[in-house]
Amino acid sequence: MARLTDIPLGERKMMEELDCSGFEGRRPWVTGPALSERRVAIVSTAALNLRSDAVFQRGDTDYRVIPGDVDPADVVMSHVSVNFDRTGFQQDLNVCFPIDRLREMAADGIIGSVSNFHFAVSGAPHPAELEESARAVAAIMKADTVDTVLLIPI
Amino acid sequence: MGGLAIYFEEEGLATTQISLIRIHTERTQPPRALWVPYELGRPIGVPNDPAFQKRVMMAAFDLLDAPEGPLIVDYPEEIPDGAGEMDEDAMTGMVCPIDLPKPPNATAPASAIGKALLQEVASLAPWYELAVNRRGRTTVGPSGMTIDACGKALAAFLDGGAAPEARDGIPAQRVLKLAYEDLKAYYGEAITAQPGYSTSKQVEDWLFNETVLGKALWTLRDLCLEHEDEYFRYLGTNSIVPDRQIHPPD
Repeated sequence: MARLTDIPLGERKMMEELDCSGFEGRRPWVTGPALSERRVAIVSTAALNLRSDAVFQRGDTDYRVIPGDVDPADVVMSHVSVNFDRTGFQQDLNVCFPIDRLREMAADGIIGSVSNFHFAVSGAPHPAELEESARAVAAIMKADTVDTVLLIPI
Repeated sequence: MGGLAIYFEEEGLATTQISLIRIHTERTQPPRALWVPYELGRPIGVPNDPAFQKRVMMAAFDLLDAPEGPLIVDYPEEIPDGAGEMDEDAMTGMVCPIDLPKPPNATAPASAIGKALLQEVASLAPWYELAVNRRGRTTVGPSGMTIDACGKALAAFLDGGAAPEARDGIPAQRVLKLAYEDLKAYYGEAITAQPGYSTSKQVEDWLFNETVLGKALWTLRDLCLEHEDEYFRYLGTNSIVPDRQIHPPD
């Protein structure tokens, strides 16, 4: 379904014309330890927030923190777009924010550990507008000794 | 998404990511991306299928072993037919699907739609409660209103254009949006507790074409498109009815 040919014409045209500029020639490449030693955080662009936290509003470029020990029942979504499926999220948080799977992988020794903090932004703005949030989130992750980020769109 | 990966790598963090819109990833060229053939909203594939989800995640983590990049790898596993449908055990104790109130006809006044909406919300309550009990969670709630209050807020707007009050720095238009999104979530959770609604398209077609809420949302869209306020016009254009309902694929 995420094949462009499966997306309605209006939405497809918008996606084809979306401005992704600003990253030309930037090729950072960070390596790390074996997967079984990595500390992993999830970053989602699904505009997720804790039930007790502020909802995302139109144009928001800030971020929300999702604690590593979060109860999935406390996570809601306040993305402004209606052009993606939410019924999967309604049935299982892990289909877009796989926190339970990450915990299981840590328990099984597949990854080293799960970060104490994960993060959500709204993917609606241009990526360049999210730079300040990204760098602030990176600082928090590094302080939590995270070395690997799993980024998940919506 | 790819831009965020580049920022994180510039900060010294290794990244791997899921890609849904391949052309965006091709343009941004983040270090490591796994393109998956799944619909928007389901980047890890299948709800309630831990094994499937772990395979997707492992494929993304495997990219961390690549010697150089940027690289985009296509993930081959498609969604199996029938994925997400409930098994017989999960359906034990279910009753037959309920009959929803008949949606008002095309010429019905907005006030009639609002009244029927509240009846429909009430009639779905048993299914919604079943869904919440089975899943141990609900995604209804960002509006901060009860589901009845959400229905009344939408009905009131349809009946005379009165938007809910702004609160906590959230403008009235956004409060209205949160209210009808909570209604959509309530309906989505309720209907997916029933057999036969395993795909998002099935749920969406039902909601927008067979329910009073769908009728209300189409009417709301018309009202917003003609509204004098820019935020309401924005809602009408982009943020009430999905594009694939407005312009169905051929």
